[in-house]
Amino acid sequence: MKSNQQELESLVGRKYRHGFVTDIASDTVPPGLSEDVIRVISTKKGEPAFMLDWRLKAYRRWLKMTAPTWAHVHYPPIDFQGISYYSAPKQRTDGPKSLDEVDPKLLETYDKLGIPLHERARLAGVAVDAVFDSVSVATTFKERLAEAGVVFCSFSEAVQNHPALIERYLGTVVPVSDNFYATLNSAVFTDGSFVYVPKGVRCPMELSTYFRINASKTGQFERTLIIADEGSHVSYLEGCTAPMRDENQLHAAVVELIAQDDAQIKYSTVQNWYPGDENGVGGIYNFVTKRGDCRGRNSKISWTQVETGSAITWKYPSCILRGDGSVGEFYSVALANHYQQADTGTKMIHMGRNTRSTIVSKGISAGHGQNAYRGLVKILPGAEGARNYTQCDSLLMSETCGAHTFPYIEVRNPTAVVEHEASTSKISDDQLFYCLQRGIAAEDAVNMIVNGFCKQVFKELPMEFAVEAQNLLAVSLEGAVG
Amino acid sequence: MMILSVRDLRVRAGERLILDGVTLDVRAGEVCAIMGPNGSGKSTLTGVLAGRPGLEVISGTATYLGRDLLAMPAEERARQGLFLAFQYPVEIPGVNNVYLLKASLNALRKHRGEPELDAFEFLNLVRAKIRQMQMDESLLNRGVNEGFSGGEKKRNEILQMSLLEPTLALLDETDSGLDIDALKVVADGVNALRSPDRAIVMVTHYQRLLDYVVPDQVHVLAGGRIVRSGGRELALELERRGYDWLREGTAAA
Amino acid sequence: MNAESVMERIAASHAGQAARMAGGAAWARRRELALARVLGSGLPDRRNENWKYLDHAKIAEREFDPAPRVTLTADRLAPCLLPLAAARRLVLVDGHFEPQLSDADAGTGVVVHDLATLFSTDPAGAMRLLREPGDDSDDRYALLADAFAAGGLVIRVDANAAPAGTLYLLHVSSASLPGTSHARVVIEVGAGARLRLVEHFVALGDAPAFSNLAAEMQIAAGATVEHVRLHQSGGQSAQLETWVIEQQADSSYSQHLFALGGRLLRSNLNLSLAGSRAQCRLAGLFMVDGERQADLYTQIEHHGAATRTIQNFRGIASERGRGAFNGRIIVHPAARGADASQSSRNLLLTPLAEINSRPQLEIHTDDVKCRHGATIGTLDPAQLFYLLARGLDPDTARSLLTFAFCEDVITGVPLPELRRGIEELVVGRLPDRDVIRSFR
Repeated sequence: MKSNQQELESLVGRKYRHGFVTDIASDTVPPGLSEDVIRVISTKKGEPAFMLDWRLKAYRRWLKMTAPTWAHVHYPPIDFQGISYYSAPKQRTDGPKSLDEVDPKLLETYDKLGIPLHERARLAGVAVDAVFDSVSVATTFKERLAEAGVVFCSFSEAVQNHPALIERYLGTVVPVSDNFYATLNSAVFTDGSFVYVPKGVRCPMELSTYFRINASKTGQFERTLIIADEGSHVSYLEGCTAPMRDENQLHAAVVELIAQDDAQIKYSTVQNWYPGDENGVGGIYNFVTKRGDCRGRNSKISWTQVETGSAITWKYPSCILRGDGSVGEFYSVALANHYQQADTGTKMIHMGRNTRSTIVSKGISAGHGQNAYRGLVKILPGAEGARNYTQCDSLLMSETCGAHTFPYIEVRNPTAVVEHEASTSKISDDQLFYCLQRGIAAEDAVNMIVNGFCKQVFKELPMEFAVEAQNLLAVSLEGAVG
Repeated sequence: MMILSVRDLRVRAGERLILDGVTLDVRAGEVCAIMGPNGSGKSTLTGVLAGRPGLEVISGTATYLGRDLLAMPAEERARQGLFLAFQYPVEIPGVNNVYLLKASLNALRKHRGEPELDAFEFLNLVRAKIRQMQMDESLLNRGVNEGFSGGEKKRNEILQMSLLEPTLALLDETDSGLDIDALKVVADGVNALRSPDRAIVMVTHYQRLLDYVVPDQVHVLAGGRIVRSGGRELALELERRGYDWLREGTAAA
Repeated sequence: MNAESVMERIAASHAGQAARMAGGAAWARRRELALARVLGSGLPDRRNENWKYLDHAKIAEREFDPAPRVTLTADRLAPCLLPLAAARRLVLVDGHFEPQLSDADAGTGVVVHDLATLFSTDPAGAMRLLREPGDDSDDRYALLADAFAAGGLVIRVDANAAPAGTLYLLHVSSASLPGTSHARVVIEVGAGARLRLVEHFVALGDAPAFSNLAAEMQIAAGATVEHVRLHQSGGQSAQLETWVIEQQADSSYSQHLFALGGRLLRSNLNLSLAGSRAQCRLAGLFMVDGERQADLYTQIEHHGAATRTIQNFRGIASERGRGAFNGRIIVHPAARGADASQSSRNLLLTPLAEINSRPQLEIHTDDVKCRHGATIGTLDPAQLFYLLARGLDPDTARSLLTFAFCEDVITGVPLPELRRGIEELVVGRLPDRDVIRSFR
């Protein structure tokens, strides 16, 4: 019998399943970044003047910034002039009026990805906004949501139809000058999703955006803004895939969430960007800024993420707990296999009284993967009675991988209680042997154990996606054992 | 003589109302048992009487030896002779068990106007008591309850009680988790404390302890109120029939 | 005060002293080079992740020229001494070894050299002995000490020696006038030897002195070192220290660090478990009140197989005190079977105090067992209630629990008389100290 170690190491290896390319005519702006390119993007989207000003302000700011180096990730410098900042599938100039008018090739693409855009299909209970390269190509269930008063549309549409909301909220959680990649995004973002849930409304279905990078040499810079007004509830999920290409492609998104009094936002991510091949060639650089602002009393923002893709992941979905009694949660599974690198975690900034936060992070490292948890828990002087509990566990599946834990705990209020616990170990030989002895195949045994390890996080996902996340993890780990 | 008199006590923990109008009298010389299903508010009752933080009295009164009990800080209640044997005694590593006993005993003696015991007198007293409780003397020099087994913690509570000789002892599920030998030792400790000028309130889920410490009164707490009171026979009936018939009874009433 | 002026003042101070410093041309060159590197890269500041919790202005405002040398009598020293039975005493005053205040015989198998003498008699030997600090920001103050290298000690313990009693290394800051002192300490512990070392830091005056210690210890195979470090300097003193320790196979090192004094303490420890089965146990306690701050930084690197770390740090901050723990454990690929645990527990007692904790694990192989935990909070309300329910005064109960919180670190101190002395110091820092004393 092969040793457990060999079993483990050969479990990684099935291929990335979403690596195909859609052959579709695109309207692509040549690579390069300048004020002119930003004007072109803004013009193509027919934006009001305030948007162009906002973009240019960000761009001028960005020119003075340097890329961050503190994360535990390594990559060659990115040539920002070698990227195309706008690519959209060619379509009639006025855009599709309904799903029937969407290019069949696009519908087929999403079908292949398991995200059917016709409303009767498998995800019948979920409204989907599909973003293909730089633009949103379709949004389902708009009418049903409109009945409930919920606005769910592409960001471009929101700029046209709800400019007041955009002007009021855009950049209020992630300011233009926040960090290098967020500032870049502010200058060049092309599309994304917009959600507004009015006072007292419980959004009647799951909302979901499906991001797809297709064109080569393009970056994807989307922007998501979700506003949950007083007493409203919304659950939102994003998924992402990209074709297999030898080049590294940049994805630098910004997500802003705003929860007013008693509002709740649940934001889930299943991130499966192309991770590169087993030698570390290609893959997406996923440099994302996600932040939620619990502005209102007793508001709640909950982040759940399953990060299996990307060559490099750099993201810290965070909560600013401003309102008294507000609650922040972060549940994360991050996998780094082959030569993937992940530096991910969260920030919980406690400002209001009796604010609470929970962090559960599960890191899995295999192959030459490098996985780091980086998290800040900060209790400001006014956060009377604040509580945080953090648990970070790392699972090691090869002798060449790495697992790192970098918490920052900063406390300025003596009534606060902050607890952090972390452990790092390899898959237990005893557990593995126990399963094998009961006749379970090594691969299944590892999957069982890994799933058990991640269970606390999976159970936070909307049900439709929990199973998908489990399967995704299994696929991503194939060949890590065998 | 009346030792404890509780009138229409309503208590909240966070947003949850737990005691919803408890009325209870305990006289000198009495042993009174409070029984009830899980979640009926038994531990909240002993907690609020001893001054546990996090419990909010909404209305009602508790009078102890003629004084307003609820107005006193927790340490004052202890010094006035009210003792709580905890259901889950907390571990305090770094605080020596025997020092706590000494500090506690001397705080009470000082309050009563008695001279503090010197180290020699104190050790003799503790050694005698610890033999009575059939405890290992080495437990004295460990941190308070640190690494004690469940049974050892409960014995430690009774050891403290017998040393401090309270006027009113509140025993919160002291019998839970004890094997039969330990139960007997604990019961002996409680019986030894019985006297005409003291009172004992035992909170328990099972009637097992009552075989060894025979109560004068039995009260049943359910849904935050005392729903039935009686003598020893009530406990036996509860054992036979469980708690459900009482709930039906109150629902019907 | 801006960074430029700090560098200018350091350069000026160096220019004023360079001619007087012993060691010949080679040492003059080395000091110049070290100075140039410091001036080139500057001292670490808050932008550096490993230094982000330190109030660098409190160092920048110090006088970088040395204070005039003082001559101390044994009488002046007597009140500061720890009551250690059978201890051999070595005294550094403002970074200079003082033989007349020290025991002539440091014990069987122990050889002591005054670095100041060595610079004159054997500059090449001193060159070999003193590690040249690297470019890492953790080593920047050691580099500064290298630029001013003039005084200090070399202590050698022969292989298999087991000197009776304790080596008592007293660091005295005269602090009668503002000034900066730099000291180097090099300790070599031979294979299979045993060493018990107590380092004690005191300040005699109230002037805002700045002491910068760069120290290193080589622990050969199978050797055992027990190291107690007590910072008790009062008043305005600021202390920066950089310890670099390397352990060979089967060696064992324990450290108890007590940060109980001074206006500012930054302690850097870089420990390498180079040999297989080497193990270290690090315990630490900071208590910061008033305006004081303590910033304890440790980096432990597991290189050898089956190496082991147990780290247990506690911190208490009250009034406007600021405390930080920054502990990094790195397990390198070769360190298979490594086992590391790290605990940082902290009490924040008052509204204006501040505590920051960063326990960090960096793991580069799979055959490891590593865990860490950190808490920052107030006294446990359940414990407090238990004591109140037994009739204890709230103030007493709080003090008692605070003391109990420290006890876990104190109990491990190897010498009973030292343990009692430290207990007394800790109790002395608590409110209600008399009650706790009677309680014990």
